[in-house]
Amino acid sequence: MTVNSKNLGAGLTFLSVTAIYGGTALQSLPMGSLTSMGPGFFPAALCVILAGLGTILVVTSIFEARQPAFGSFAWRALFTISAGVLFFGTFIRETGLALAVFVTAFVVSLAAAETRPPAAAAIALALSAFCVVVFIYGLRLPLPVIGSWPDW
Amino acid sequence: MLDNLLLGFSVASLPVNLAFCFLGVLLGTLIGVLPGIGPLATISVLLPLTFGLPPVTSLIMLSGIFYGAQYGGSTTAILVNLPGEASSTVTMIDGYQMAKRGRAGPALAAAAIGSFFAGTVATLLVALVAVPLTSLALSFGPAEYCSLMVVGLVSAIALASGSVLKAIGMICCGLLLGLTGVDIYTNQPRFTFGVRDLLDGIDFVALAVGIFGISEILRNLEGTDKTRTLIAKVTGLMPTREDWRRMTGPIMRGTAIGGFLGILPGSGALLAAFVSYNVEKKVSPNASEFGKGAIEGVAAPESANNAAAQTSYIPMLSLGLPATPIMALMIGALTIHGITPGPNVISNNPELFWGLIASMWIGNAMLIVLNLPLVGLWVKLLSVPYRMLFPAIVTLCCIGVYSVSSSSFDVYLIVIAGLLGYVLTKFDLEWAPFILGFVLGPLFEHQLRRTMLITGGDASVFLTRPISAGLLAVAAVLLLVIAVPMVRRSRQEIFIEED
Repeated sequence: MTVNSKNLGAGLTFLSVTAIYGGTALQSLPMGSLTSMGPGFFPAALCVILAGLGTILVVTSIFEARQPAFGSFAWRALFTISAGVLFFGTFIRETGLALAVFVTAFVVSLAAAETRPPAAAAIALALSAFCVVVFIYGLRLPLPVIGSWPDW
Repeated sequence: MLDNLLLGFSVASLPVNLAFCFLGVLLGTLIGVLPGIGPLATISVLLPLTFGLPPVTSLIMLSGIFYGAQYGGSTTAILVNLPGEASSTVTMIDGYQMAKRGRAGPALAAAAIGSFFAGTVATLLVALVAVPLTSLALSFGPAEYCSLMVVGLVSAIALASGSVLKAIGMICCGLLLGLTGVDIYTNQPRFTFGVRDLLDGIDFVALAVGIFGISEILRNLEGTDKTRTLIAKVTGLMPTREDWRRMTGPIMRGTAIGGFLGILPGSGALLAAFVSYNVEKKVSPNASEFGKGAIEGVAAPESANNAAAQTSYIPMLSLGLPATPIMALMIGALTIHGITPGPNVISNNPELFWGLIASMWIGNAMLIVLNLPLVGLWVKLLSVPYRMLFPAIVTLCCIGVYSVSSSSFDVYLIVIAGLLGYVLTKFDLEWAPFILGFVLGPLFEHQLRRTMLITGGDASVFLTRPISAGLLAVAAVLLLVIAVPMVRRSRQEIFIEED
């Protein structure tokens, strides 16, 4: 089948947003009247527009020339960067800035296929030192260098 | 106005403001020189780190990054034939040709002198135009504000390069997500999906960092690390007498074109550069040299993009309307400092307004010093491989976002926004209209509800009040211009080169 997957994807995105937001608005938010609009009025109106746009995009995409949406996809980077950032968000309090930056930077560095673990460790070490100097001693951000881990 | 400018210079020349202005333009030049890191991402990342600063200082630094990047981008364009910034794409055409013929020095000088002149004129223009616009805006009621925001949103469609349908859809998505949080009229939480961290709304900084920072890195990591080879050597910076003669006209015209296009919401620096290049090609007596290293082809677009960068502040400062995503970030910065963007900024915070304007001129002067004598240093930077840069950027994103409110949730939000930013861009969905919608969403709904409350549900007020009707007419014309296929085709040609 010849489908313009870029437009199909865009249309489906709009339809999903409509489903989630429109559904929530209809279910739990009062519409009110035109004179005194309830919290659901404006979102519902937006969802009507979005539903229309989404439908047009999906329907027309079926008749358009084939166009793949995902040529190359940065799977490796996607996983390593997500993992690194999630680690930082979850453990910064426990590990403190120095260790959190080291682990995050190490994992994130591996997103580039050419970076081997030893090089990643070197980058991470340098960044960790840099961040401690700049953010703790320079900008005096209220972040712990070492964290509360020993108290566990 | 002289008094005001004096006030501005007294604020801008405070040591702390001078220092952060310098830091801003320095960072701006740095990221401008490096391809793959844009001012949008950098400002998003640094936004949280400026919270501790006074609002003026923070805005001065963020602005320095923005126009510094315009300068830096031209260096890479001329010497390496890569657009350091999207807006220097045009400079590449003749700039690199000049460099290949051993005239890299004069090309760099033409770019810097043109930018400086344009920056000076545009700064004056901001000072001149913003005040009358503001007094007009002060007579606005809720209906006028609604119509004004419609103009802003319609121009966001113009900002998008691709499909109009997708741009409208992204605006709607932005408006919807912007509504997240407690409804101010009924105190009812909306679209929080039971997450307590969302009661205050989606954190703007985390969202911007994810969408513009992380997703850009993901895109850059798709290919292999390109090694950048420096072909051109810089010898002799000074332009010859002949060069000066040839560049005066293009700089003047470029400044005028850029200054005008920058005020129009949605057009921005890249468009200004393209238009001025094409104008020069038509009017220049040396038209045959264009594309082979004509100095006019460097001077005109560089003046235009810098002028446009500067005048895009006018709608932001006087009306509180962002004309570009970068201005949306500036508005975000103002809001975080507790300043409501809009016509009241000039009267309530004159030191902020005039200080910022004065700092732009000072920053432009700093840039000419930073860029011309130190060009060799910047060029060396290009040999830093990207795989060493992006871990630093990601780490800075994390620290920046976490330091705002010490919230783990906001850090997770970076990942979500980054993934969405990356995947949806694959569908040619663009984020500039989304961010504009996100920033304007709550404001727009608020004014709309107020209007309807005042008029008792009579929507004709939008057409019977003259200013409101005028603004809606502007929006309609804009929409028509965007929709007319002829214009659309040339728009696509313009934007194709941006990628």
